[in-house]
Amino acid sequence: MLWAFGFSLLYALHGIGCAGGWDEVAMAGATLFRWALVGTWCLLCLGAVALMRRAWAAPAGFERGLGLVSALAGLAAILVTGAPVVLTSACA
Amino acid sequence: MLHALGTAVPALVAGGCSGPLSTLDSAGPAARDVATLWWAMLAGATLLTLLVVALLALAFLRRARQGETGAALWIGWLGLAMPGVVLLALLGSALVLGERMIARSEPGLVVVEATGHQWFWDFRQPGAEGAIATRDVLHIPAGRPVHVRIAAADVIHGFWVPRLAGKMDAIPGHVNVLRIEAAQPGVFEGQCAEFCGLDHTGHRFRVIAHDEAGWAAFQRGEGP
Repeated sequence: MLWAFGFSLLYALHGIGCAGGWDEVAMAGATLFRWALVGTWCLLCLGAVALMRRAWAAPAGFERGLGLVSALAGLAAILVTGAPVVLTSACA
Repeated sequence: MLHALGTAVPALVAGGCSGPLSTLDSAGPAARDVATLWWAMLAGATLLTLLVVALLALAFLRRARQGETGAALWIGWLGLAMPGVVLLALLGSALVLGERMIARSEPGLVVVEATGHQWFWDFRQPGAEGAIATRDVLHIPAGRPVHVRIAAADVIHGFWVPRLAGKMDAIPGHVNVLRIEAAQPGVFEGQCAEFCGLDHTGHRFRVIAHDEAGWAAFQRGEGP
């Protein structure tokens, strides 16, 4: 759920940022576009870590294992699919 | 029957490696990158297929010992680690190639316009006295990067010259930019790559890449 929401959010921000010219607004050594996307990605990663901690604290049993594996898969998916926002070109 | 198949299948497979609409018979840097990635994926897919077939054969030949499940090997290494590494490698190479293909301004750049219609293409190329309009034939200089500003007049079409670059959608009300380049002068076939109605099959066009003198002559209006 978090991954699907995050991926859609990054996708939407990419479109809005390019259309709004955020990549031409210099900000703290990069651009507003880069900071907006990288910041969102970092928040999503932190959210996934928080979900993992919550799953970790759950009572032992099948549900705990399922929750942990799901949270780990979500965190990995967010890390991999969001990583390009750091390095790839902003708007062609 | 088997003999016919034995002849027809290799001929069909080999036939895809060349020809006017073959992505593997690349004639420019962008298409070459796409073809390289395709060959790498084919090599990887072949290796993995052989591995799976070998494992399948092994399952018939060798019985597991009592209590031996191999869950860590099957799920951990072959089910998660291996696909993970393969997909990450593919993602990485796709990102690198994508960066290289992005339409960026550079010296010697030529900008042309392509507009898809049901069922023809209108092109506009820079001429000595203003833009030169052509139908179903796009003129470009060879050995120089060309940005094609792609649009559509009615429905969504797809601009695709397989030997020069990848595909790009032509969308009504929106301009997409595709970078193409022909390494040598020549004639290259193009095909609409997005179903656009009854005559989609016949929605073809041609790209003529001129040498320096030919391009200068075309820009003066002395083209073929």
